[in-house]
Amino acid sequence: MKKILSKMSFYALISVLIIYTIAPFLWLVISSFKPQQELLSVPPLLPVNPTLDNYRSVFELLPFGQFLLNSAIVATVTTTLCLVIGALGAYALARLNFWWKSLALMSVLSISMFPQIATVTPLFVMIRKSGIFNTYWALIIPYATFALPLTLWILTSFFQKIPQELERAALIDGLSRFEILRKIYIPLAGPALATTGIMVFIACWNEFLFALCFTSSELARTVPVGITLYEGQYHQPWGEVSAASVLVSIPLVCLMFFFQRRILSGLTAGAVKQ
Amino acid sequence: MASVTLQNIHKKFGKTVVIEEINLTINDGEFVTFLGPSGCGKSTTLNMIAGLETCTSGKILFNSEDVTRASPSERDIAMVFQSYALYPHLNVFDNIAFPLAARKIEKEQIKQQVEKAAKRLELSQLLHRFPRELSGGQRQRVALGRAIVRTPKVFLFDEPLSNLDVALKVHMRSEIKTLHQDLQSTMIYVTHDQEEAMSLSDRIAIFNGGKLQQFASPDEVYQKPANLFVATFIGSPPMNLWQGEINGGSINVEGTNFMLPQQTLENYTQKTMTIGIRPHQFEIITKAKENSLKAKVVTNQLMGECRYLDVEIANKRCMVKATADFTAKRGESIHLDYTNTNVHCFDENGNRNEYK
Repeated sequence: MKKILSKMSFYALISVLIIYTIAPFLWLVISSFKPQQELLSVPPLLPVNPTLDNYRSVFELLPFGQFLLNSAIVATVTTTLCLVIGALGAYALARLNFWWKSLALMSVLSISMFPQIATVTPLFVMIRKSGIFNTYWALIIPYATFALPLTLWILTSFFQKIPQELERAALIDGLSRFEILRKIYIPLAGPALATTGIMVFIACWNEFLFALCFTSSELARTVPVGITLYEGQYHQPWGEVSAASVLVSIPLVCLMFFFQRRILSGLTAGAVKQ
Repeated sequence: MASVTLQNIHKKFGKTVVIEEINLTINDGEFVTFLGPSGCGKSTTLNMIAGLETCTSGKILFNSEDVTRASPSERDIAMVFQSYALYPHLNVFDNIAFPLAARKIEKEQIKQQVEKAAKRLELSQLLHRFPRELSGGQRQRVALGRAIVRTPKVFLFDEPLSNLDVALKVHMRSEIKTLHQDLQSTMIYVTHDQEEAMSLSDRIAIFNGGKLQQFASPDEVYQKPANLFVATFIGSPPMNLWQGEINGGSINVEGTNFMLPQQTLENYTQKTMTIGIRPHQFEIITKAKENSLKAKVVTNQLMGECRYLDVEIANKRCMVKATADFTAKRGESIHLDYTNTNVHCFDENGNRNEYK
């Protein structure tokens, strides 16, 4: 009896947790299929006349496809850039000896701790002056400032867990430092690279403030900024916003499912002695 | 193949001196062991020979070529590590082929050489496996394979057997010994296991506190230890030692006199001396005779083929080797004769006082 009770409370707790995390998203999905008239009336919870109108108007009112493409390009380039630079830097920080190593790690960390809003103004001036305003680079470069510290920290701690003797063996076997990174560290750090890659990708995909400030047209505008533009003076575009939000989440959900196994092993890598 | 010469090697980590003035020459084709307790500097010395660590001062020569500043790959060496250091993402074939592939050797030739090495180490059936699918002994054989797949100038071994269980250790030991006999190459082997050092080496270099204590054949380090450290470190159970005052032709240890051979004390000017007698050097006799010692049995341990008696002589515990059928009870007195054997003598600085 006691056993059943404890099992029941366990599942009850889990259900609450799941509902708590998934409810807003579920609400969004449901709303996106509701016609305009039903949007603000609950009950009924489920749409009486389900429609795809919202999805259609998402693409008709604004160049949403272009926003998606912009987001994808910015997030992919930033992620690639961060992983390449991050891996090189992390290897140096994990394995080479230089006296300002901890200073470097600490300053990188402190940079990532600046509130974004504090850096917007100076960044805006810099971006304006350098002529990259409203281009992909206006987003990629600032994004790297918060994504790179993350990559560096995760990869450095992962690289440090790779046994030093592997490196010594490789040095004796005749590899250069660069080859060691490419042929030994990168293949072994697969899960860590996948994890950081996804985290950076998601962060870039969702970023709003920089994207709002450093872009001005569909040339470079990303989805989070795009979604805000459906609002008109007399029009509350709940339907379009819901549909657009669902659309923008789909790639992330796919990505998570695809890399799920790798991420899990990446997050727990090195937690126990293998 | 090459000879290896260390000239005046010093090594400091910050302000800590870890290696002090090491001078030694390892001949071409020789099997040399660096032996010592942990932290004695033997692995650091090996790493300096490998080029994985730099020397603070001094020179390292391979044949007559100065390699002190050369990178590990330029030195043309192969190394086997304690943790095997196999590449976990590569299978056995690729692990063994790694040093060849890194040197951009043709695929066909790599295949031939890997297969030859694998056959030599009985790994032919395992070439497609990954390190995680192998047992400890198999992994160590793959590590050996990676070393012998090339013909390097020098083979370096950093405690390669200390992760294996005892039975496998003995097996791999003879494997390494045959390997040396077949390849006739220079091999340097680091270990803290004196049995390994004794059984494998042409010569043993004994380290302690960053200094070379003695560099000689296994026989010589056992029979003629250069100082007190070597005397106690080599031999199991260790040598029994007594320090006493010189009194005519003998030394006096708390009232017990140990007779010394006459020549020992000629030219000896210090007042005290430490003498050493190994457990097996005592002969147990039934009746007291001139210069024999009386000892009281404390414990009696059977080791299978022999016995070790823990006895008390001159208020000091010491070990005596006896035959397996020797049954002496606790508290019983026995007589020990040492006059037919070479008593080891050490001066006040702990250095061997050689009979002239």
